[in-house]
Amino acid sequence: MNIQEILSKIFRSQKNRKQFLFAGVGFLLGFVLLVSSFYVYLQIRKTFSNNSELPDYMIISKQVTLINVLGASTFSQEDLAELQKQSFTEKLAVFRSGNFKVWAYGNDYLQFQTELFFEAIEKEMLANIPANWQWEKGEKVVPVIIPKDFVDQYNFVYAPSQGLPLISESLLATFPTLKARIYSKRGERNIELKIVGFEERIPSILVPESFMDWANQEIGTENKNPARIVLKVKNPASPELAKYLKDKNLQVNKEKTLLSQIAGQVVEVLGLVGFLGIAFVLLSLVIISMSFKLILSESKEEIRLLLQLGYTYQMIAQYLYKSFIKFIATYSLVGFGLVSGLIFLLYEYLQKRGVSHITLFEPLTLVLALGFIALVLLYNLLTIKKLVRKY
Amino acid sequence: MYKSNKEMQITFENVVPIPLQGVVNPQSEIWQKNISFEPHKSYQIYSPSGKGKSSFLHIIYGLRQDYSGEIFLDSKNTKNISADEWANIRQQKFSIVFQDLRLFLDLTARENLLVKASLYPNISEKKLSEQADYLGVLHVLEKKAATLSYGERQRIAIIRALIQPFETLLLDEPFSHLDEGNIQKASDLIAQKAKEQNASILMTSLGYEYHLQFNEKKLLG
Repeated sequence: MNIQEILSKIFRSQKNRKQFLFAGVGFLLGFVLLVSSFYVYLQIRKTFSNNSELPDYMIISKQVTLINVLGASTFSQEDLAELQKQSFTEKLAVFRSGNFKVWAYGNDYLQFQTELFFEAIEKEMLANIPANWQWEKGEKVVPVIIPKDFVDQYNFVYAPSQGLPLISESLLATFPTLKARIYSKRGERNIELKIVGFEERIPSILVPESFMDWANQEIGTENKNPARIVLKVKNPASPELAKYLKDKNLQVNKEKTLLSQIAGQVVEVLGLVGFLGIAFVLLSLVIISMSFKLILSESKEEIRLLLQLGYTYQMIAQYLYKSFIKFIATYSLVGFGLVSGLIFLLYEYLQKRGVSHITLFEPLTLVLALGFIALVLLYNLLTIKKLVRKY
Repeated sequence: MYKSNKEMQITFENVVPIPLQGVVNPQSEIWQKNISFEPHKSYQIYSPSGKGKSSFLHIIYGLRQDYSGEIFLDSKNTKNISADEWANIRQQKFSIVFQDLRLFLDLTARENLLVKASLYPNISEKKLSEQADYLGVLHVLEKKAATLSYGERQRIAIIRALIQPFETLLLDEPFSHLDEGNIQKASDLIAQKAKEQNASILMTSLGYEYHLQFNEKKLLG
């Protein structure tokens, strides 16, 4: 029998085993809670803060005042030319609106009837250009892009309350077309609408420009100046931009949508959860160290006797280091297993709820997990060193 | 590390344990005297109870620091010996049978022997069993020390002390719970082991010599 074996006989008493189990459960709880809540936090933050930095695309309209309420709230050719000249402007595009009305009927999936309003914009201004974003004269089916905010509101607010299926981009291909009628006093046409994508940047129902040209030509009424434009700027924080917008009474569409308000609250709540998580982790750290200190102090007499029999501090400390590392390694493995399972379930759940932009594996989570283990190890190894020296 | 190859001489200079200060028997040949214990010579230290017999051995063995005066192992003051040096001395130079035995009560008798034996790579377990057999405790080796009688434990403690190499064997009333026959056998075993290693013995007792031979007898107090 070697020194390690005999020491393990001395320290692995029945009483100590219970203590170890207690410490292990404390460690597991802290580990699983910390890592999995951090994972959720990362995912939610990713989902909601996507593109939430200062946008370099902005939608600009004229402020409605008493003076321009009667129709001067549109951009004239001169206005546009002037904007185009400004040093902050990188690209400018106007919204072209349909000079006709749209009435859409649902399908078997979505039963509704509603009046719609189409706009078109250069496709370079879109955040994502769908693969089938084109329309040629004579085609019955018109691709449309709907605002991501609609989808989010539908997925997060409406669908859950009505028990309706959720929409995701991958599901769109299988989505049936919607019947619609475009009409004006010049006539009407029946078309079918196919949703091909969601747009995060532009809160409008968009159709391809070619369709807009055709429809305006066929049944459109008078051509109006655009009321809204999309401006791509070089630096959204530039002071000239701010001054220009103010001087010209222009307003930027940066009001928060309902969802981004909810997102803000969710992130705040998660921040609180994260804070509690940290408090919990510190607590579990204390529990682990306390139980380990207890184990050590209950073995005080044994350690003393070993020293009296010619054992060195190093022999005893080394054994305790090794067994503590083994103990933590074992529970870490279990912890990783639990966390992976939990994260997988969370991932599936979030995905089913239509939360996009999520990933199953988060390197930061791994870093945090390893950091936590390192902290527990370091703290307790130092404790062992200190306590064994004391006896 | 304490690496002197020379056998150690233990020197007391005017030593008194703090609890005995002011009540030392002036006839004591050890307390408050200058005295050396030479290598290869055996000493019996005798006194009635309560005169510091255990303290005497514990002070030499480095377990107690509460005394006035100086103690030297060779020329080194024991107060300057580091923990690592003490560990080395206890592995190679001094072996001890504590009066209160100090076994791990949760371990079996055999495991108690192995606690010591595992410090030395070449100890054969067979030898340990032979010695246990000689002292009549072979049949209790697999029992927990807590379930052994005091006499059985005492014999286990003696075997444990004889496992290791030593220059000086410290015996603290080692036969207090043994019958005459077992005292004879234990004394023989101790004498044989000491002779093999040319070691000295420091034994405290109430005054009996048992069956060991001593070069000198010193009154402790």
